[in-house]
Amino acid sequence: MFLLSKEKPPAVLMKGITKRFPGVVALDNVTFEVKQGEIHGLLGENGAGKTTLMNILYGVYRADEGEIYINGKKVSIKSPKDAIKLGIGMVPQHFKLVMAHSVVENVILGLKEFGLVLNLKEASKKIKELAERYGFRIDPKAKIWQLSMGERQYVELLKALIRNANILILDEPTTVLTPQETRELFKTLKRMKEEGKSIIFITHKLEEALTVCDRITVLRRGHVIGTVTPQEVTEADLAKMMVGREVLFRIKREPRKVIVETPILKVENLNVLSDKGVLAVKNVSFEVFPGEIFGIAGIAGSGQEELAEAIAGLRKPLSGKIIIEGQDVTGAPPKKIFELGVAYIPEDRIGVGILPNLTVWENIILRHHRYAPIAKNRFLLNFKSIYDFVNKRIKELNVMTSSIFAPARTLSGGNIQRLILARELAENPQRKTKLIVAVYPTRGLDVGATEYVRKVLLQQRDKGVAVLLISEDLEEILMLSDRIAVIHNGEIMGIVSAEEANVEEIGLMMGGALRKTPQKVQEEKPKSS
Amino acid sequence: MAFRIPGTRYAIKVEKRLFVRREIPAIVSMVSAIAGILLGGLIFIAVGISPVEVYSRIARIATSPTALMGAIEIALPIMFTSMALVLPFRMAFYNIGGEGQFELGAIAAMIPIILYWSGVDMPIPLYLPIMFLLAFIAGGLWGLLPAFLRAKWKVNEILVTLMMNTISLQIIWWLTTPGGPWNEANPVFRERYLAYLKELGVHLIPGFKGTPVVPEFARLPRIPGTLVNVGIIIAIVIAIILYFVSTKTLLGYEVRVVGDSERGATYAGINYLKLVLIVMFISGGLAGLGGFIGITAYLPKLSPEIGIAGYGYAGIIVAWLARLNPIACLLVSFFFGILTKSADLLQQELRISRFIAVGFEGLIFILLVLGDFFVHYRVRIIKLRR
Amino acid sequence: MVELTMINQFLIGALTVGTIYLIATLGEILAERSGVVNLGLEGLMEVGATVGIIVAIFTENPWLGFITAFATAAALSVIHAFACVTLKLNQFASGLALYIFGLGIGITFRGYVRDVMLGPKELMKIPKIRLYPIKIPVISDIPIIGALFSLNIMAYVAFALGILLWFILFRTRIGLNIRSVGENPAAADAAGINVFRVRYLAVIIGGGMAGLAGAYLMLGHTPQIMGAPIILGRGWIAIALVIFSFWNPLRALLGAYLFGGLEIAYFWLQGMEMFRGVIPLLKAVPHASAIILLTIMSIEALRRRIGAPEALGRPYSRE
Repeated sequence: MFLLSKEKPPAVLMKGITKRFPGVVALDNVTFEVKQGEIHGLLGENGAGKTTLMNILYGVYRADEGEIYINGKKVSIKSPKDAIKLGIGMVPQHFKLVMAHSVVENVILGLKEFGLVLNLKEASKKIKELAERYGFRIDPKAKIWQLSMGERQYVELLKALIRNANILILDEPTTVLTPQETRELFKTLKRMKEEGKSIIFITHKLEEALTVCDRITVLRRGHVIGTVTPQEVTEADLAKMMVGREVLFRIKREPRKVIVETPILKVENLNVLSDKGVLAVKNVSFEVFPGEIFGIAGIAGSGQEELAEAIAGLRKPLSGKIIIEGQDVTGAPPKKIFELGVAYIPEDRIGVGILPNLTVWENIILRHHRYAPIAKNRFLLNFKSIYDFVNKRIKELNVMTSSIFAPARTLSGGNIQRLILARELAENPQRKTKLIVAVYPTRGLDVGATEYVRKVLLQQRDKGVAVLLISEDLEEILMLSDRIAVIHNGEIMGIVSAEEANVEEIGLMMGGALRKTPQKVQEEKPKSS
Repeated sequence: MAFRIPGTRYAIKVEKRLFVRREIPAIVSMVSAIAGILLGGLIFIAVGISPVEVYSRIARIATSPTALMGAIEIALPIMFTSMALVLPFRMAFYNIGGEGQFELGAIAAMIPIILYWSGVDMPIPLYLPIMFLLAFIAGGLWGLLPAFLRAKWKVNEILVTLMMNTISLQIIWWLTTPGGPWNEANPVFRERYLAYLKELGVHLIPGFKGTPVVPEFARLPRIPGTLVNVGIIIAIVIAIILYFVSTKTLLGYEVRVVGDSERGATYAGINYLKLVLIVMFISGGLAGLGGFIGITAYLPKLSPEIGIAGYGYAGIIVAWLARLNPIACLLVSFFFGILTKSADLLQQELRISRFIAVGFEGLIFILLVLGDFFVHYRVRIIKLRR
Repeated sequence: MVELTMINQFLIGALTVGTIYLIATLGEILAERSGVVNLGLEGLMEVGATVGIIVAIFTENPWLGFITAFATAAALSVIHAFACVTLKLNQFASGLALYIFGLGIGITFRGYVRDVMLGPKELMKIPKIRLYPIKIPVISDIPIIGALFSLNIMAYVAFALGILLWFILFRTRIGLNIRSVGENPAAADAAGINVFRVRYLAVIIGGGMAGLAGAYLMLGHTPQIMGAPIILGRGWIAIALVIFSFWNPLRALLGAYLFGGLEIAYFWLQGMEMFRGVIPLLKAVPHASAIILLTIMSIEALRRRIGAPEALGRPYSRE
């Protein structure tokens, strides 16, 4: 095939790649091609398959079906070592750097070229050369912990370059960068392109893809939707490709029954830092009213987790206010927030949501354990009441377990989620559930469990409880929410009501391409039916 | 994970257990202990003694009532230092400082005695209760520092408690060396103590590192009609209370929660600082009581020997073997008592070092630690197809 | 003139004893730099002491004693490595088990051998096989500097080992690998380094050095074959020393000799009535300072600047 063509063979050609994981087909007959000397964007939502595809290219996974050609030659990539030998380098989303060591030490780790006795001088020289060639500045002697995120990313880039990578995979590189740093990165990438390097740019940000890529391939749910050039498409087109139009309404959602004018939750100009010290939630404001489901849509990692943690009291905000039922609870401990009636369904079920090695009953009474009737007084537990309480809760939410004395981790995923719900929604005389903060509540659950959880959320909403639903599943958001906010890069791009919701608009907002003006946001009050 | 045995059609498969039945830790502990005893036999062979002889003598000891009583006395302090670890270990706070808290307890309990020999009196019935209280409080306070450092600044409690063990031992050395303030040759004690000794017809040994003896009225008596010290009753009572606290109270519950998931506990509103301070005060206090028992029931004077005996460290092994169950702690301590008593008798009869018991303990501990692997993973031999 | 000789004597004593601390500390620095704590040092040193002197007596060669002591302690450390690296068990529990076991076995065997196997003929060999300070005619008498030239061979070897370890850790590829494993095993793994192999080797060699330190105590300082403890807490001090020296072999040199000096000072002070009582309290000072240092280091803000390996104490698994 390639003999006839006068062009150079593509740097990368992945043909018919299929990859299955237990219960899901991550990639279905995907064909992906990167020309020499181009910057090729790989666009898609979470779970679309972008990272899986690149992990196959980098040798972390092996495809079940399909072939890979590098520079026209068929290859077998069994491990990252093979990939590196073929000139493929990866700049990961989560850096793999040793904080206490210097740039040089990190870059040459694992390399044999610089001698048994480390020749740091030569290595530093090489690093400076590479940096200059591609137009960025780095001090080889600086320690990683002293560097900004952008600079650390350059270190990862150098790791790939010093191993003579000609094909570079960048996994969501701009998530941790400031706008300024993003521009610098793009300049660097363009320089690399001119030098003949081929770059694969994984992203979910539409504007960036259009700015820096020569071609863009859109993946959705493991399929290639199409490969286009920036000249051919608009952001709206991309959004449509990314998000699709088929939204299945399997659950019927009735119009809101409970209408209350005072919000139960008010978030004002909230700023929250992520673990990495970067601003994850930027000046966010919104209100949630009793009896409604307020959905927050967005690609995972846009700041939703930190937002939820801040509201639940697990993370102290940098600035701004969180007001629950009129009380300012900014920075209050989880206990206080729980007492005010907030239930939290965390993203990390096993780590934070349940106590894996403790029994089911011990898990269910958690958070309630200091209240009567579970506690007899300040010291003792009332086992008879506990027994009643636990059995009632299990029945309410259909938690299936062989016994209440079984360790919680033996439950299936769906049942673990039910256990968490049972605990969080349980009422005791001192505390009524008023607000549920649910983060990715149906992630990883089978169809039955998923339907059940959604039903429960709707039931609570009909009872007058407010639900703050954070989900990466747009279908789910559209299905359940009365109002929808879209978060991108830590900012709320817009808030719309369910009736007005327009999938394309939402897709654009998720990709950062559309921003509804502040005034409009304020006008989006719930409509009474 | 599977490892093929080269040259055969079999492979060893290692898989994580989904569900650890309650019996498994107990079975593993027992197998480890038995394996330890058997392997220990090898040590005896190496020093030229027939293990059979050793085991038969141990069996004889185990059936002699006097020896059994002696074993209980040795085991008593260990019962306390092992029970002391039940709560902190359950909350994943590794209190290795039992040794130091034990010593502080002994030191504090000694205070009224020192005052007595210096001429300061107290109504006699008050001695034991006050010594008891002082020991508990001193041990408890010694346990608070590592707890605070861990809660406030995440300082590794194992290293801190280890260092504090040495510090407390040095305090004992200081107090009891000839020339030190509590040494029995100190002129302050001359009046009363020498008179007392003269009555008994005993002389002071020059250069002896230790305090004056604890007088009869301040020693824990034996249960009338038996050879068993009253301390065993205290131990049993504490075991029952501890069992109750750890299973039926809020404190016990919160301890379990923190031990399983510190993050989950914080999210559930449990205050780590408050919890760890309470738990460590109790823990240090119980270990301190061990020290009280040590000088009132076992060695009736304070000397550095009390630190070298290693009651605190033995407590760690016992607590582990007993899987943190207070009642089991009593039984396992008794087992160790028998071991040590046998080692004592063997030393006299067969001229082996006292440290052989220490070696045994260590061996069993190693096997326990390694055996822990089997609690979480299952190993099977499977036949490969093809 | 009397005073100057005293200074030399003091220095020789300090550096000789300091070498004991140094060897053990260097070994533990190696292990901890790879991320594994070994609390069994004291036990390994007892074992090393026993093996060292017995082999030396029966082969009439102290160097064979050193080698076998190293090998034995290294072999025992394999258990610890296996427990910590492969089984991923609690490193502190495993180390403590090793301590208690080593303590018991080391002391028991020593006592047994002494009682059963060593007659006066063997005991007479000891002065021949132990190490002595070198005495160079004129130079040895020079105040201070003379002392530096009058140590036993092992002291010089240990000093060289200290420099060597520093060089390896900070100037060679192997050292970079070791340090990376101790700081961020995931990053090292991604860079192609075999984390498990690095940790195994570091723990085994480190443990072997503890045995060597014990043997040196016997053969170079106090050749007392008794069925009683001889290490007397020096192993624990070595563990504290590792923290003191911020996991840096060069600082370990300073710290070890300092502690050697302190120990000699205690010994001398004991002869003087006035100070005798205070010595135990002075002995507690290093440990108390270790606690303070630990606290300071743990305060998060400072942690970056001070060299505790980030992954110290945590098992690594490739999830």
